Amino acid sequence: MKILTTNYLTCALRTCKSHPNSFPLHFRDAELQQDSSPFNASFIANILPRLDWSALLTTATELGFTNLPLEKPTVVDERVGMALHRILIETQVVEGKLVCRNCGHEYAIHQGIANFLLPGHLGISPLLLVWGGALAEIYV
Amino acid sequence: MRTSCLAGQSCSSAGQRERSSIIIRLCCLRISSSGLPCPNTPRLPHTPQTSGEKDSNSQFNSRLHLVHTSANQTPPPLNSHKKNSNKQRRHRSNVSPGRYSVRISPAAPSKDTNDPHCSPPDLFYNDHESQKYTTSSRIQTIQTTMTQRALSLLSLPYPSLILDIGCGSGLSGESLTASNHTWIGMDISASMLAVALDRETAGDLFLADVGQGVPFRPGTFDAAISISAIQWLCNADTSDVSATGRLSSFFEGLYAALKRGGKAVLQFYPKNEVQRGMITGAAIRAGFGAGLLEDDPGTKNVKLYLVLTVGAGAGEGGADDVTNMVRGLEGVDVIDERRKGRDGGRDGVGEGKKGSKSWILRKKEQGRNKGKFVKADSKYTGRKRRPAF
Repeated sequence: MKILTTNYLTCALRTCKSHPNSFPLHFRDAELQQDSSPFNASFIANILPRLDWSALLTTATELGFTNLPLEKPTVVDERVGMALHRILIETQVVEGKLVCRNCGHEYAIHQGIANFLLPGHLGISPLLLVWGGALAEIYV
Repeated sequence: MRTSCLAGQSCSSAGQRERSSIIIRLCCLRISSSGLPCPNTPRLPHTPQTSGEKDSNSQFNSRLHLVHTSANQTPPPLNSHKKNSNKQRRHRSNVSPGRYSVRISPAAPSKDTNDPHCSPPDLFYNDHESQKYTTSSRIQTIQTTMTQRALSLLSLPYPSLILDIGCGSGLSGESLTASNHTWIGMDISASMLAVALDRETAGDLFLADVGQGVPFRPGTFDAAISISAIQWLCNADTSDVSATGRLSSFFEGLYAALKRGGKAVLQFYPKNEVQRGMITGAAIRAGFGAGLLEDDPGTKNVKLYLVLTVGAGAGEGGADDVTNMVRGLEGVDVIDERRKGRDGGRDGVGEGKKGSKSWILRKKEQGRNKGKFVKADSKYTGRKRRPAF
């Protein structure tokens, strides 16, 4: 899984999504792999405004990258672009876990594929939540 | 009545040779234009046709149904769960053909996992089925054609971040990579993802059930694509979930995960009209501007694409949103099935606003029928007075 993806990923639990702790997810026992892929400057320029820079810094520090600037760069020149490309696209997490700070749920990563399937009792349908809420209202 | 409209003008200005007509049913307008083909339209591989006589120039004979959407296209308020839940409950009790539940119990007859209509997708696409699906050259061709079609509908100007819903073994993803896009794929079948690993696809893969929501933060993706997947959401495989619930959490999640002005093209195979209605209805309830593009309607090769837009472009004129996406595509009929705005609809019925001339005449007629004394109608009836100085 690319570091880029981690910057967009939140906890899959519906109740967690609104909580600030659910983003970013934190790596545990991460095993990294460096690939090489062609540098695509316009793609980096396209996604840069949508990157959450503080979350990226957190993730990068957890994984041991410290060469990122503290402020989000406004213009992408060759040097910054390549550095971003190296971290966001070419660095892959192959094995490990992603942990949500809010609910503590661990999402396992095997061979680069994260398992975001929720067990039945966690992925409660909104219907049941509403019914539960309605029942609670009646009894309170 | 023959006139030109926004989309019609663009068709003719883009210069099309093939017939491209726009039918807006409710306004009783029929607009057709013909011109030269757009030079920038990507050429697609030819799909097999069952109908013999077809214009050799046009690849697709398509229809775009504009499905009813609210005029201002605001996403539903957060506290509207209750109303929705009522709807869902009603739906649950009335409509059965769209949803069915499969329960695994010892008393039940052994399940035939080869029938896509009775087993959930993660069981149906087992190792054998995934391998078969991916190695079949026929399926490969169809998938690639449909992905190309979806990409041409999205018409992304620069390398983008795309969500592939139901990416499977990455057949559609390969086309995305070839077009220089970066994609993230989600699929519920582990076997399919294993095949994708073997094929070394470029995108990031997730084992996830989109019916449980889309776990990305708001405004992440430029576009979303889905090839032959979302009809699986109509299956409710356990008793604690409903098809409508799964569809709505998917579309709400997708709506949030796309950036404003983002687009999604979802190709799907509905089992019947009810499923088709359920899926489009759920998309509209989530706040999307929706159109249903039918390629080769009426033939065996009919392909349905749900074309969705988020936010931008829906404001002016209504017809601006989804029709924008089929601009420059050849041979597309646009059929507007949207309801008109609130007061516009009433005018169409002929009742007229309270206080208008038609309303006064109707009231006078009612009075006459009751035998009341009513002044005779004249040219002054219901006319506005001159402004007094």
